[in-house]
Amino acid sequence: MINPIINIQELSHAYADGTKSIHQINLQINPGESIAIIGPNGAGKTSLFLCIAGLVSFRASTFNISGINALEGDNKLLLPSKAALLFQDSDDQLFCPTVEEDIAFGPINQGLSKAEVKQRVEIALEEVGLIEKRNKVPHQLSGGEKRRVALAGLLAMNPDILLLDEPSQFLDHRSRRSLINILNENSHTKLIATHDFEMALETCTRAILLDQGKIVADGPVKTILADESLLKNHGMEVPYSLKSPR
Amino acid sequence: MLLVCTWPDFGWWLPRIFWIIAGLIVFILPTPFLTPGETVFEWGILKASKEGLDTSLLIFSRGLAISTLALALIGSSTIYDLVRGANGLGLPSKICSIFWLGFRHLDLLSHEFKRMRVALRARGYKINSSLGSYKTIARLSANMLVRALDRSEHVGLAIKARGFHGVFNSLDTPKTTWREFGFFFAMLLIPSSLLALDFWLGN
Repeated sequence: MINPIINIQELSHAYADGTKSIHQINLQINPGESIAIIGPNGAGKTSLFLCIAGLVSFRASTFNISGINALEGDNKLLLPSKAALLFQDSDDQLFCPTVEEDIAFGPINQGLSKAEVKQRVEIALEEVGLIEKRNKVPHQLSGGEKRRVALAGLLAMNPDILLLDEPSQFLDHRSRRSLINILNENSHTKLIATHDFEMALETCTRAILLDQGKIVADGPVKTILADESLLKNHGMEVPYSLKSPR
Repeated sequence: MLLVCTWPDFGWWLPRIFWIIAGLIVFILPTPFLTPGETVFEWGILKASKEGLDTSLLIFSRGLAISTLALALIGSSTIYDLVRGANGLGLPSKICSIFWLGFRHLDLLSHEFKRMRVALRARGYKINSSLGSYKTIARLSANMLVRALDRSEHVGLAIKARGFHGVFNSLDTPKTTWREFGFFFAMLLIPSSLLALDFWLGN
């Protein structure tokens, strides 16, 4: 039996004002799985990611991420190195003066030697196809390039899990296609929060539907995204490619 | 020095130096007429004193020296290099990080401000001196503050997500070059020579 890379039981999270964003979620994810997290706005997708990345306070009875029990001692501080989070807005994530420096930011914080950091930056730049942009200022890049730099910043940290929050948001067709190709070539365990169901169909094998902080459905991506009544009940629509001809 | 530092990009510093000189002239213009002393020339009822002219010249020279030095510093380095240099000279890391991130996100906030202004115009808003207009400006400013706070929270989380623990480290370690050493000693030589000349002429 495969040990799950994410094993969460009874996870709850609330905002500072007491509003609950996640309520008693149980989640088990196997290594290498690629999972679409879908749901309407405010369903708790981003909050779930922030919890898995160890960036916010939460309550849970079990919280094991890539072999780390985050409920023990200061283990939560180790989570960003295991589960790397791509934010919705790349401008929040890019703050260094050059693309290369930005990608190196995470590995440097992991305490790696300069030679190792440079090697990781090189590999990450190659993976996202931005070798020639290494000396550019990140905030002067296009939206698609910014997203790829942000993704390279995560890959350079060599995490076990990639948490991608709306990765195709604001991207044009070419950038979106390029991102899908990068994700399909990548073997990491991936959790992709998205409203782009066509992208979910191309990149994921399993889908989890969240609404009002609870898991409503969990199953093969094609089954979940083809279930018209389920999606309609939660304010969503079947993607065009799965719609039956009338 | 300014010429050397910004060579060949005169277009960068010429307009700046022009506005600095114009500002300094406006600032020192009344001084000769307001300082009591030996009259040098008269202009209507105004009398310019020698002491006033000396003071004006001193203020102008000092102002120009400080401004050109600041321009030379800004014009010859990127903000990131300046922050890193300040850090190297002992400015605490946290202050340097805050300064750098603040500078980086000013750009984003100014973009957001422009977007919001365009959105207001699109809904027929025209700035005027009415109470309603002031209220709109106040709401816009408040909205900007809320957005800035929101963005700062996101940036904070993004930094934590990449394992940040309080110190900004860089991939490349800056090394002082021989050219910089030469420039430093040349800069040291010029004022030392002036001081020596002053001392020699004084004796």
